[in-house]
Amino acid sequence: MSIGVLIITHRGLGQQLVEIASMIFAAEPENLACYGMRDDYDPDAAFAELQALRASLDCADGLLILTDLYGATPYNLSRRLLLAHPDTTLVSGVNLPMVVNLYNMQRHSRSQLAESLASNARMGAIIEVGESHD
Amino acid sequence: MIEETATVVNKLGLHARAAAKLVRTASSFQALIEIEKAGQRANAKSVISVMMLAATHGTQVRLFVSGEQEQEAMQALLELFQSGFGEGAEPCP
Repeated sequence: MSIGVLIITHRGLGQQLVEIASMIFAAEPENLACYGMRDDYDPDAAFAELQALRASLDCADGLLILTDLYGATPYNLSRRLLLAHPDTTLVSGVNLPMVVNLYNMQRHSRSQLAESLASNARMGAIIEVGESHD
Repeated sequence: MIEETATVVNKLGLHARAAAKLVRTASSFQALIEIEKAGQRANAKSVISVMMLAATHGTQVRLFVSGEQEQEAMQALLELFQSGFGEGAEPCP
């Protein structure tokens, strides 16, 4: 499968997640790019940069976008890219468990990959409560 | 299916980089591979699943391997545990 992965976030969050996951796996991600949205972004310039980034990836089996916060600007830019390219799947709520799992999930289809990543992001959110003295 | 007991012998336990090594080794085999700690089973080919075990130094786990090359897979996993995931062994408490 040749699925391009584009991580679109506020500032350098996506790049940081990828650097940490690369350290954990002692490997570099394949066919993946990050886009960190600057605070003073221009929507059309940002979208043009995203189009260029998409073109730099092998998207023979489509593009998977991971974005940080549903409804925020990186998400809105991602939606615009999804509307321009129907072979795109968008997953919001990117976190380290999600990115770490990208490294051993490359042989899945785009829909399986998206489902698995969302599931792993949820699995990584665990509540533990200390003993209360109330 | 074959099963064996293994102990986490490296000081840092089954932390992220160790889990990644374990997953990479498990994923190099076709066999179904699971790890169990205190009744909780994890898919050894999923980093998040393995990390959910939160297996610290000294933890005993049970390895379950079934399918193609199960002996070879079990041997590779046991060697990985014995080497402390390449980080060396510390005396267990």
